[in-house]
Amino acid sequence: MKKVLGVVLICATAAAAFAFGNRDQGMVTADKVLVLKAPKFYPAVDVHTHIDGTPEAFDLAVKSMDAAGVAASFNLSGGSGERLDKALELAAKYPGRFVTFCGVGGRGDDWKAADIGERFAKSLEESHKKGAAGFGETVKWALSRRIDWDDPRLEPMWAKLEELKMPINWHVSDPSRYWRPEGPLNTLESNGYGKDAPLKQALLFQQERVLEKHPNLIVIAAHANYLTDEIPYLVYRFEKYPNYNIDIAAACDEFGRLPEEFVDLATKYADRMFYGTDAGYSARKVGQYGGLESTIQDFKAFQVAHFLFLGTDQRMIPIPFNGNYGRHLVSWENGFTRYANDGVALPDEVLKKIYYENAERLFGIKVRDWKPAGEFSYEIKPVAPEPRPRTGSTDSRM
Amino acid sequence: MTEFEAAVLVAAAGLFGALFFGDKDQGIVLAKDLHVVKKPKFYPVVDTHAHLKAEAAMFDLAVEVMDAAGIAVTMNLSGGSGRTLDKALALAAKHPGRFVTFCGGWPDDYDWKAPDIGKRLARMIGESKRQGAAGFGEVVKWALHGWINWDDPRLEPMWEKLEELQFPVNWHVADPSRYWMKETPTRMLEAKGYYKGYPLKHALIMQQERVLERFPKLVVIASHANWLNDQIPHLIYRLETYPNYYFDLSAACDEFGMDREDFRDVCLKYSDRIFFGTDAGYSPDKPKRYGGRKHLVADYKAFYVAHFLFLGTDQEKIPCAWKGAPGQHLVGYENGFVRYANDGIALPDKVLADIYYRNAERLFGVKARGWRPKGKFSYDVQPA
Repeated sequence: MKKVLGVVLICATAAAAFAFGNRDQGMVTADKVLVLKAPKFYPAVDVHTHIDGTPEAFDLAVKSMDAAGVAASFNLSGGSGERLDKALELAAKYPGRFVTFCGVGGRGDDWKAADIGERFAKSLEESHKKGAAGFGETVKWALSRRIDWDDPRLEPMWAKLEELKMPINWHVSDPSRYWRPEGPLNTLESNGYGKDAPLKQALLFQQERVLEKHPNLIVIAAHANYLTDEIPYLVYRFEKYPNYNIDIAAACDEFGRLPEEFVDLATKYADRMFYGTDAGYSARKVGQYGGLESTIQDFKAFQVAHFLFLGTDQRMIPIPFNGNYGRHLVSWENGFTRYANDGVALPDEVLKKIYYENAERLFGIKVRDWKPAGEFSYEIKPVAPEPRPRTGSTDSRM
Repeated sequence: MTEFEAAVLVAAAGLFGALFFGDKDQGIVLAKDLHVVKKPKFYPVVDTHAHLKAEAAMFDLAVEVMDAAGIAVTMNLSGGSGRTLDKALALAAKHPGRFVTFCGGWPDDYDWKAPDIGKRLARMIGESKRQGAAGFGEVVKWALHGWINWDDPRLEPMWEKLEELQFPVNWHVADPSRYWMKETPTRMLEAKGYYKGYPLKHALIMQQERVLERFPKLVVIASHANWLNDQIPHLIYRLETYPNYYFDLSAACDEFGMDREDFRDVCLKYSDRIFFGTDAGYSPDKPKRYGGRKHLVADYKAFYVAHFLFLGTDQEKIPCAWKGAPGQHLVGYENGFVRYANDGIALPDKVLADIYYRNAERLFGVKARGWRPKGKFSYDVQPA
């Protein structure tokens, strides 16, 4: 019996490997985005990106932005100290194209220290002097069990942010499905936040207490705080905290499930919403995506999928979502496809605000007259990836 | 605009509406519209959310419907207080074991401005409990109507009393989110236009949150799942944080059906905190509206069976069981559009037993198990 079971197991594994093959099928590339309805051109500002501190990464970012019609990108991986200096220096080579945020803390930090908030406040003040335009992405400190958002030790940090009027890009929770087990009906990526993880709503209530205590804090809630399935709560925050804003990075797939509510929300609170994608630019990506040209087209397709969703009524648009395995347009998890969205065709005055007017107002940048050099269209021209050397692993992204 | 002009305008609009949308009764979808393709398993169901007018005929009518639909026990959330409550209790006593009576949260008698309103309500609750009431409610939308905020300090004595007596409150705080949205061609469901001049939905929920934080032992049955059906992470937070927080499913299955995967997960994990309920209403005007008593019984049965199909089978496209404004709808046509239909979520046996009767038995000491409708019984729906 045991022998038979073993054989069955081996056969099943082989069949699965054959059927699902290379994990690269999870990465949908430029050739999967069909531009049936051309979106109107806007000089978009992507307020949520991560750029490595290397010349190659900035080169990739600028070329991808030019191809996709993105006027400026906010780099939410600026860090602090020398790393920040480097990020600012690289950004300065492309005047008007990058805005740099700073960060504090890290894995090596002593999150138990009594003076952690004071140290962070001091670091913020230094970064602010150097030229950082904001603080963030501040990612899941409470969910990762480093420190609760409403821990009194962080008070000096919140007070300093208020004093400097420095916006924080603040990532608190994750999509609700991350707390649910994967199952036949939950086909999407699940991170299996189980018994030990704090509840999503508990994290949001921690943030709520900080918002109540620091009403002057300028917040850009990363990924709409993943309140995408709690829109009444999102509305409540917009009404209660005049400095509460959201970016829609890696949240369009979720919003696309409730298109009518999203249209209402975007129309009413257009001046509180920022365009963002969570695009990650690194030299490593070029190797993964089959060369520079192919990678640029993939990033362009990634941006254009957003524009199609927001600005046209094209149907069944692959979902732009920056998942764990890189930036996916549509990913297949366990052989299932993610859902696709129908475009919500927001009106012109709403799109303007979301794409650039809000960013211009809050960050004092000017992009409204920017145009990509030369001839431009949103059309995507897939470039065949260069063959890459085979290594031991079939999945170089792991 | 004078009152006369306004009246003319209203009349003209009404006439136009009647001509354009035809008979409003098309909003009531009847037994003939429900097809029982998959047979639900039988359970002796407790309907924890119903409203009965204190008249003998209404109780007789309710029993007839319950027998037809396989409902063992119904909780009357319109018990009132004082002499009305006595009457409701006496009528319920004529049908031993079939009714549970809650005392009244109806607002007419209350002076909402009174500084001692909480004390008076606390006294009323104490008296009603002695009279024989099993709970307090349905307590309906006091804050939404602007009568009094849930976290108003004047209500503290009432919450204290409820917590002290461990007296369950059936508590209706908000409404479906769409009531706060504008009606549009694509949003075909009923909207109430709460977007102007009303408190925000979540502001109401947060008022309630503060009461729950202050009185964590309060035994709450959140009516209609607090309409947190589109804020499931918040619902889970409450179930985890407040050990006596329960909810009933009345008039919320249509909403939950929109997010059936998440809803199913909640049911599996928290089956001991969920009550079956429908918001069925028994008042003297109803039989006429349904074209006679026979029709009413058949249609109410269909209304119940639509719930059972949704919860207990995997039949697809089940008309939504929802008690809307013009009566209890299976599928309602609002402005000529049809409401969506749900696919059944086929909950497992243990979960259904919890939701249908075990939780009610535990919390209210009623006995439903073992009960069976007299004679031959099936969930087949026969239009009268």
